[in-house]
Amino acid sequence: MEVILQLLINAFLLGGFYALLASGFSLIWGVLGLINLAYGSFVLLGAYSAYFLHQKGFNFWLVLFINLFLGFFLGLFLNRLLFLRLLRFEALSVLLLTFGLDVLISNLINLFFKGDVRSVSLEGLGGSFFLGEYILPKGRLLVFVLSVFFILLLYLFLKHTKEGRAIRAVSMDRVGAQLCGIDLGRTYDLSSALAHSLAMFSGAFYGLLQGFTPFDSGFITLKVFFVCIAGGLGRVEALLLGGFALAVLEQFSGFYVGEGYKSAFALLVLFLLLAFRPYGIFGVRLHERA
Amino acid sequence: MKGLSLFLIVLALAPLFLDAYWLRVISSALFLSLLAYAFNLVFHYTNYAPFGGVAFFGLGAYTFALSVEKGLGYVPAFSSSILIPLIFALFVSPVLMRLKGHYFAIGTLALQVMLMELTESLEFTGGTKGIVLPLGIPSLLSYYLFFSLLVLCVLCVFSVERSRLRLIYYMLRSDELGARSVGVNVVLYRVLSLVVSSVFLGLTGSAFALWQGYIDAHTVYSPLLSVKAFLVLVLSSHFPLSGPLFTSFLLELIFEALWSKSPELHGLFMGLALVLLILVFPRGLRWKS
Repeated sequence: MEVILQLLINAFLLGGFYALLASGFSLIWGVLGLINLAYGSFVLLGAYSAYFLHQKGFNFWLVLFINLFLGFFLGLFLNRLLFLRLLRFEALSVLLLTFGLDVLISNLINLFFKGDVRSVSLEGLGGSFFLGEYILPKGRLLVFVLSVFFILLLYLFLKHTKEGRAIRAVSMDRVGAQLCGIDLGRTYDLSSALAHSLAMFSGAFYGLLQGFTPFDSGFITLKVFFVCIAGGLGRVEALLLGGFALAVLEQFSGFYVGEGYKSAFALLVLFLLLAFRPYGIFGVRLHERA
Repeated sequence: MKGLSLFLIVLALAPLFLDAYWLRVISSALFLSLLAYAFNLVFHYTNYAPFGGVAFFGLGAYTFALSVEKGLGYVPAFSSSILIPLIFALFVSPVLMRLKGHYFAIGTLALQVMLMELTESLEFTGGTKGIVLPLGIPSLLSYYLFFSLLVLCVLCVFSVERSRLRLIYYMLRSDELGARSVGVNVVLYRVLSLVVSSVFLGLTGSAFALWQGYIDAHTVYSPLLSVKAFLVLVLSSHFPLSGPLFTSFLLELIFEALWSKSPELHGLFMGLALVLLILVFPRGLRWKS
């Protein structure tokens, strides 16, 4: 029983982070209707930039801020240079493009940092808090709190600001949004910029939680995809749900089946989800997507 | 067609005139074209992109290598490297082929990563160490192995192009609803294309294992293989019969020129090439046919 509760605590902490990790992917999927296969490599880019800058002696908070900033401009740039040009063509071409982009970025990172496993470690985050007999590692707790905080910010942004409403409107109905006078290009720009800054931002946390190599990107993209599929697209709350689903799955299969099998297990479940519930475990079929 | 047959005859005679280095270059071009043909059976005929199609390739390679390691002869090893990917494909394709394009692409990627993880974690697959095949075979033999597989692929595509199947596939590719309404079982034909493709991929995997003499999870489940194959396919899209072969040779020669100077830039170059190619030809050279 203690073990199960401890695993649930771990999953709870991890799930919040997974929700943040997937938020950018979900955003860009919802608004641009584009599955960004290069998303994982942007997360890694964030992890490596955090690693590099922290190594150079930058404060971690500053690093987070730099990542946000960098991701924002990279996303804007990508949208203008690549996505906007290709959106009017068949969806397959953008998919192929992001696939190529993924390999490109992974290899670029590999060129600079080589293939060794790296991780970001912060002073003062080594220990754990104890809650009765349960362990709350400080690092994970920090990541959880920050993740949930930023998800909340994202939620408030999407719900209550003019730009956020525009983003939601476009993701619900592109033509209808245009009829209401929403600038489609601007909304795409903003969504892509926001999505990539979220990717790089959560990348820094990813580096804090576990080791990474330049070729983990496919893996991260699949995780993020799992979160979106399990929770269902289109809502911020769904991300939390999907994140917890993935974390519970990973923690329990990691403990009971073996650490090496947890990803394979999650992917098997992803496959079953795709087969039987592509609209999310609790999701309802809103409308057809491209 | 004439050009293709001529080229095949030249390839059959090529080892007579080539030294070991060029034999290896041409073998890798043949290998690339095999991957491209196998992917194309799905990509061209159903308009689905099997990004993770190397899952079947790796499965074939591992099945073959393990069978040889266990002391089975080459013939049972080859048969099992057909059989296991085939069974796997039969098992997963009814699910995969009901999905829409995006979901399909990422579903196959999930299979690829899943198999890679499993291969690295399981005991009997040699974990991260990979498998060394007990006996090296002469490079000439593996060349002809690739070559005969290529002929098989070309014959397969040729017979599809000359039969009613071609029309059925073109119909369900361009208008799924239309195809359904005249009574075509869309899922069945898609499953067929994936299954045949997986058989070719499995065989190519076994030939690859023989050729290399050593395999590990990261080489046979590498996304680089699919990027390379899709680079070929984007360039050769209007010509399912001869395109993949000629483009593979062209690309492999270009890669070779770059590869020998700076191997670490290989992946970078391929990713960049794919991105630029899509930017220049957003219609993919085919999609508006």
